[in-house]
Amino acid sequence: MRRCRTLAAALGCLGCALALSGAGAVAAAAAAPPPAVASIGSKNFTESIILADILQDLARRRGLSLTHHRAMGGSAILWQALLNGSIDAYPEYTGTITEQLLHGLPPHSSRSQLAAALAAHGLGISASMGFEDRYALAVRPAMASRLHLRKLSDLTAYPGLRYALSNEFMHRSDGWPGLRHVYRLAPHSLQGIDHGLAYRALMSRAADVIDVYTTDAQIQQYHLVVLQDDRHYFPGYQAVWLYRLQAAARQPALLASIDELAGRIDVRAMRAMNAAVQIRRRDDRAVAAQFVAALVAPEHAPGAKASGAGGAGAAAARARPTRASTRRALGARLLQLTREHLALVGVSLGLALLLGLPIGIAAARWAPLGRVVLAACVVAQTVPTLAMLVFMIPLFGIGAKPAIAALFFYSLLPIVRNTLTGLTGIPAPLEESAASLGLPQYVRLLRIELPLATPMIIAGISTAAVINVGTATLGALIGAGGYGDPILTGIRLNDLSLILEGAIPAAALALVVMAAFQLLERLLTPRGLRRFLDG
Amino acid sequence: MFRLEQVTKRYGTLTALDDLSITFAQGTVSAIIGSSGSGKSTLLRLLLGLAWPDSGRILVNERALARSDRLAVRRRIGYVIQEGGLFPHLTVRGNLTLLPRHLRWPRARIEARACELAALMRLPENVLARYPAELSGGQRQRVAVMRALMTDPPALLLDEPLGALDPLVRYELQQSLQQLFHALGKTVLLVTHDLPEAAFLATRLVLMRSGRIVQDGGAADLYERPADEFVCRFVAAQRGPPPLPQSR
Repeated sequence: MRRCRTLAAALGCLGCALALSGAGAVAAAAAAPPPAVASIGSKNFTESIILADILQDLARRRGLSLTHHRAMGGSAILWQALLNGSIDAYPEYTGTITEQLLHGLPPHSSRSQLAAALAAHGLGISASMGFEDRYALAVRPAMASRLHLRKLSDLTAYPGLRYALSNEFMHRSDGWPGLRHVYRLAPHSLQGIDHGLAYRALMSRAADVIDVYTTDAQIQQYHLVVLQDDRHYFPGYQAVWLYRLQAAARQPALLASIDELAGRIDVRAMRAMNAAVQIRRRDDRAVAAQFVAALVAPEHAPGAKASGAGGAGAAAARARPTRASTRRALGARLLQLTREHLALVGVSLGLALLLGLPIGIAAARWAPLGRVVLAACVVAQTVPTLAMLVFMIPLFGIGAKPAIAALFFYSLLPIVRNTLTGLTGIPAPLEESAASLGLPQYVRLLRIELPLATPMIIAGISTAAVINVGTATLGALIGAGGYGDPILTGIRLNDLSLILEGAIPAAALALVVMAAFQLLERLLTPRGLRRFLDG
Repeated sequence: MFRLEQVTKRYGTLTALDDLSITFAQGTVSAIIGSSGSGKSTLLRLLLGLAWPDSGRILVNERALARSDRLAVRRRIGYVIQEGGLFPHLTVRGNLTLLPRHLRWPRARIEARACELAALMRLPENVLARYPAELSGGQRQRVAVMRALMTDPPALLLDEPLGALDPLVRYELQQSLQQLFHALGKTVLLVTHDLPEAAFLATRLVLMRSGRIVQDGGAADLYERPADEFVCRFVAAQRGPPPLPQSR
């Protein structure tokens, strides 16, 4: 009997405990870095990360400490984060600005047109950093020579080629939809793929045509043939900085650092830096630091503009592989990732429990509410994770908070549904017995109905937890950290061991979570109820 | 103690009780008999406020039953259903003490009452620590009766309490219930479809059909002066085992 009294309390406390333990971990994680006065972001590909590293390094030399939110995601996420002030600047490409972010601008707008349009959003744009990173289609060299492929219009004759295009390219207005129209392309096989995996698909002959960025290091590595845009479809993609005008006014050093980069990185230098990170596996911070050192002290490295990154590449070849040292830190890194991941899962699950249980109970009491609530939870469940994260950025900024909010919504359905099912599934004779005793509703709920529904409710919580462990890996897209960090970086660098560094602990955590909830269910389900259910 | 005045209760198109009026006096033992769907159980559910009539009045101790006092009414009525309705997650003691504990009875009083009832229902005291799933069907029904009697309510409603038991266990429980009803002097309403059982346990037999009362009287009336054709058939159909010898 005493055990039953604790049952409801234990269930209620579980939510609080999860939320608190997670919050503690968040606080611990947040306490670590020194306070920064401005923050910048980068997209989830190498070049963007290197550029942000470079700016961070330059600003540091001017005494300005920048927080770099690394590899946050695609253009939409960075743009949202910039608009709501979660970040103050990030590297962007002019074609993306005209085609994706601002609407109603001509594709070949001048910089002053762009600046005027951006100013309306409180944003500024820098001069070009000195290189363009265009979209292009590329094919394997052997196939190019066999089929005489030189220009994009040559592709029209070969609809049998298999296209593997990055997901973003596939849907951008300056991407595939217009391209297929202009060049009359109608391939029989067309697949969306993550850009980080496209080269692997191409070289393993799983695909014949992929979209590339013209500064991608792999173009040279694999001697790919980049098809010429003979109908001038693609707009220009000058690399620029987008920044918040407010932040620039508040922090002159930020703007000065951005201006310092104008025209200082040419396409060769950028490609070399990409190669240093992606192919020679150098740390992006080290590559960026080497570039900045050459940039600010040209007397030590003559011709910094052209050879700065070349120097970085050469240094990379000389440098002992940094992996040994990172291996040694694997334990510490995993601990940190685990802490971040548990914080995401714990806080979101705890909050979902605190809200989901009462909602489930209310829904069980009043059937019309139950139907509405369930429908709402189902709708939330169908929102793709990436879209959910984008929705959360305007509300919660970037980092752990929007990820927790998204995970919270995903956790609600299993918890609410199982609470509802558990309570409404109580056999009618038991319901009637409970009612006939003359106990008030709340006593019936706490002493009889919730304990009877316990196995079902815990199963729901367990489902939510396991789903959360997996979904939380995508939190890394918006700077939430966790096991998703190495997974996304591994995909970007085509580094299987790095992917596994995140994927294996995530899988292990899911199993641990499931086992923990099974144990919890055994502990919280009274012996009599177990016998009753088994018999 | 209970009075129904022109009570009608419908479930959708099914009329469970049809303009029914009847009174059950304090301290009497009545059996409500009839085939399934005749409205017997609905009558009990209405008295407990588990369902509400579409028209008519229900009076408990001359007071019209209102939603606001249904908890108080339920506490003055012990209720036993077919499979006992014991809560599987609680021990026998847990089941018995739910209401007294809510009413803040002292622990010693609760324990004394539980032991007293165990003796009355001829259950060993070690049964109190067991879970319902660890008991036999007959033991479970004895516990259900104990739970209904725990706060010593003036009335006891039993809905097919022996319906799911095998004949021998059923026979033993019939003996126990008969002694119980006799000893406690409570107002008892027993719903059953078993005529000999009704005749054995109750002094007044109310035969129902399609939500109406067909005959209301002693066992002898039903057997010797059936009110109509249906009563004849009902009595004839139940003439398997003869009425038990001690029939009063």
